[in-house]
Amino acid sequence: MMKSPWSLRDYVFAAFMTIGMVASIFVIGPLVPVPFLQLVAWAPFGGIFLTLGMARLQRRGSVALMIIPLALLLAPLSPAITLYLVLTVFVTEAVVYLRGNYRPKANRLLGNVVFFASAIAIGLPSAALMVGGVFAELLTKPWLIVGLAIAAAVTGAIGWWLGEKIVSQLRRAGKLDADS
Amino acid sequence: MTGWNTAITGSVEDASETVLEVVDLSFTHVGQTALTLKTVNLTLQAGELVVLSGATGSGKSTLLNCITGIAPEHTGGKLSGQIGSRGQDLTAWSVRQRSQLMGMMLQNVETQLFTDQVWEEVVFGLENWNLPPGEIQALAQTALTEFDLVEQQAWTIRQLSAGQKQRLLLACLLTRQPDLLLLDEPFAFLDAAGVQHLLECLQKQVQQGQAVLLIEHRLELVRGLCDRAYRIEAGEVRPIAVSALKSFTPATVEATAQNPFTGTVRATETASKPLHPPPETSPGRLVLQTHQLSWGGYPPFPDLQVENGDTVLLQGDNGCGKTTLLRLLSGLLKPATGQLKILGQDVTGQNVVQIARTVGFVLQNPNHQLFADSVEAEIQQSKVAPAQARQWLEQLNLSHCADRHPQALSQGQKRRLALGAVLARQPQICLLDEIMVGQDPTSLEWMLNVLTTFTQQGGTLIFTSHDPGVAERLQPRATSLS
Amino acid sequence: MPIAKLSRTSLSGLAPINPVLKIGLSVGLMVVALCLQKLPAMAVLVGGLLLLTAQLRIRLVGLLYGVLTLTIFALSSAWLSGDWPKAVFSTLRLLAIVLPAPVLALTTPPSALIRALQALRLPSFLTLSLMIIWRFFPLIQQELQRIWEANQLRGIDLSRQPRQWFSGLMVPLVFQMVTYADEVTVGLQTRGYDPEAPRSCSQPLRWQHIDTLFCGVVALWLGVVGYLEWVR
Repeated sequence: MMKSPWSLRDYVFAAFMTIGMVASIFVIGPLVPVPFLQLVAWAPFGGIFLTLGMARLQRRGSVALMIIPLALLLAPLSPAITLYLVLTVFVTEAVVYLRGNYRPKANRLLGNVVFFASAIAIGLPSAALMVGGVFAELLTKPWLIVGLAIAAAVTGAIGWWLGEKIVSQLRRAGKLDADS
Repeated sequence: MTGWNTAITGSVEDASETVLEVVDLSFTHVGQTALTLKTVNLTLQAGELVVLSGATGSGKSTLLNCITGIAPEHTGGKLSGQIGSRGQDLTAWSVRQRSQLMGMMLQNVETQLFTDQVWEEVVFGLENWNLPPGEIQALAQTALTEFDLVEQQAWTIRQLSAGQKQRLLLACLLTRQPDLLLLDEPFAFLDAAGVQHLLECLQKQVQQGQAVLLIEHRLELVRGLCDRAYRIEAGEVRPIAVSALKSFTPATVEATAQNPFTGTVRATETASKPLHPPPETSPGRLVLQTHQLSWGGYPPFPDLQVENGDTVLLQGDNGCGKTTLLRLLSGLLKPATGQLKILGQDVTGQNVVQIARTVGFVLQNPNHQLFADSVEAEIQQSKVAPAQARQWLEQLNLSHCADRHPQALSQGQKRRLALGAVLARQPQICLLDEIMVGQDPTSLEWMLNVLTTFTQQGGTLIFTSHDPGVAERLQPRATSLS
Repeated sequence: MPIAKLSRTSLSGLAPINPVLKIGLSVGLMVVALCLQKLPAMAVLVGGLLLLTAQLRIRLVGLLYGVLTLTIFALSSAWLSGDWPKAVFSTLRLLAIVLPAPVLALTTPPSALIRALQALRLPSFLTLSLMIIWRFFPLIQQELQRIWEANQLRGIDLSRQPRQWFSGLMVPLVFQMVTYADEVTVGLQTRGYDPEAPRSCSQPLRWQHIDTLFCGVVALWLGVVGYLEWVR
């Protein structure tokens, strides 16, 4: 049997980053109760934990290690959310795979931007499919998808920037080894 | 695994009874040149309880980490020497491998419980070793019965008290009947009932042939139970008589307090410059009054009448409400009944942020109160001028680490930094929760010195401690809450 | 926070049902909801789901939140399309998609859910992650609360000063989480856990009579739905 490249420490760290994402959803959610706008508002916070996880785990698959448990956790809300998150992870990992891993800062930025933008680009049509009716038309309007995707990418980039600030503090405190 | 030298342990029969043997163990932490542990030798036989005593920072937890394999696997560092059990050399074994022979209870029990239900928690550990389902059921049932948890088996972990969680963890660790049980300060947060339960558990285990190695500060609790004792000082371990076991207090270490960074200069000798004093109040003025304060359906606390310059010690066992009272005084909790007056004004039910203008609170866990990215910036957050910030750092012996990240400091340094950040805001009243927790003798000396100066300049100190020794140094007015 | 409060509801008669069956059913019901086109069939489907939901003790706040959201959805759908029956159908469809998974999950203890995932042979790191998230999320919430209070103690009300959220909340929280992660890793090893090592299951999932009865009732219910949709 092939040995996993991940250690127990990696799995646990990824799980705690997922906890951070969930905790921040609980903080932001009530403030912005509109779906997808909520995602745009949450992206700076989610991006912090995503970046921390990427910086610590570094290997290809780091985003999957953090988001797939989140996807499973949200399955009791709706299996559709699980599926949509899995697709988003797949897209993110595929894009970063072409450039290597999450060691370089630039790749971490790319990972964040692609993740949040594709969360909108995949999420809106999926929601349209679920909701159907007159809302399906509205949710699949190109201006809405592109506009929200750009907004999510920008706020995701803010999350990356904030995450990198914390990464440097963690490194200074001797709590994290991360290359720039 | 390398062969074990039976010449060290004596005959093979002796080796089989020697549950733990540490031979010439030395350890150096990452980034340091000085040895944290220096050629430590100790043994443990089946059916005996051995206590390892020593001041905070002396190396007790490091020794335990080395024995369990946590160091250097998780902490880094350099280890030399040997660790063995019943003739087997364990030095190269991982934490998991050693857990087959040793039950390890760490300081924070929460980080060793993983499921949501009592029954699930007991079977979790057994499933990890791939035992057959039938055997798991039987072992789990036996463990719950032995540790008096049968009624709680359907409870969630969250429903358990601190003492019950410990008992549950003990049950989990002992299901596979390891030879050795290692406990790191298990009595720290237990109330009287919890202490009694744990003592009875340990006594029973020892009578059944279990070997127990215990690190503990509250030595008065274990003196009657232990068979042998060791003391660790400056990384060296030596056997001592059980009768010589006593808790470390500021008074007992004052004479040997050393500043590890500037030599043997004592803290009091450098405290020449006055700190920035708290706001002016007339001497003998009442700064804090409480009347029939209560919370959570419990009986009211004793009334307090505190003047400026007073030092008040809130004494009592764990669970008696010391921290609750401090939280009431700071406004973090709103009282169910009673009145709180600060500087003559009724502040009962007032917002925490408003009360914080006059009341500073140093929490038990300093990690919750560190916000800046450098030690100096942490003090300067209180809108303190750089020169004053440097003065504070000097008084707290933190000048040498002004540029370091607060999270890179030791627990004692963090506590001092949190104190400095609170006092720099010039509160009239300073609340301090469990003054001695995490404090090595040197760190405590620096803290006490700063606090003494604070009260001499008219500030009021209200602190809690379940350790009576601290009273000798600060000469407080004691109020018992038990 | 409705979701968090919903998770505190008591378990119902559905609790003993095989969790793998419940997972499969929630996915199946969602697919059925996506396929239905007729109002009577959708109404029966949603009616059955509401009966299941009635077994749970949902907090009033959560219930009001749900009703409000549905009402807004229905009204805006009707306003945009100008077609009330279509708006009602869309609303019922939304309910039918949204209800199955939460209802079935809330009637299953977390440990049973994790056992179900183990039975489905998911990679062990997923069940480990879920276990850690479930166990330590409340502790991290407590840490968040302590840090929030620590800010109040230094005169900062974070609810009024969002600019302080980064240095005052996020940074200390991350440091606490990193420390927790390290300690939990050690803790897992002291309990003998190894993600690569085989683990047994002390309570293998078994098919019980109640599962057969449940399947029968569901088949009957879906039979009625199918009849209303495709036969009538």
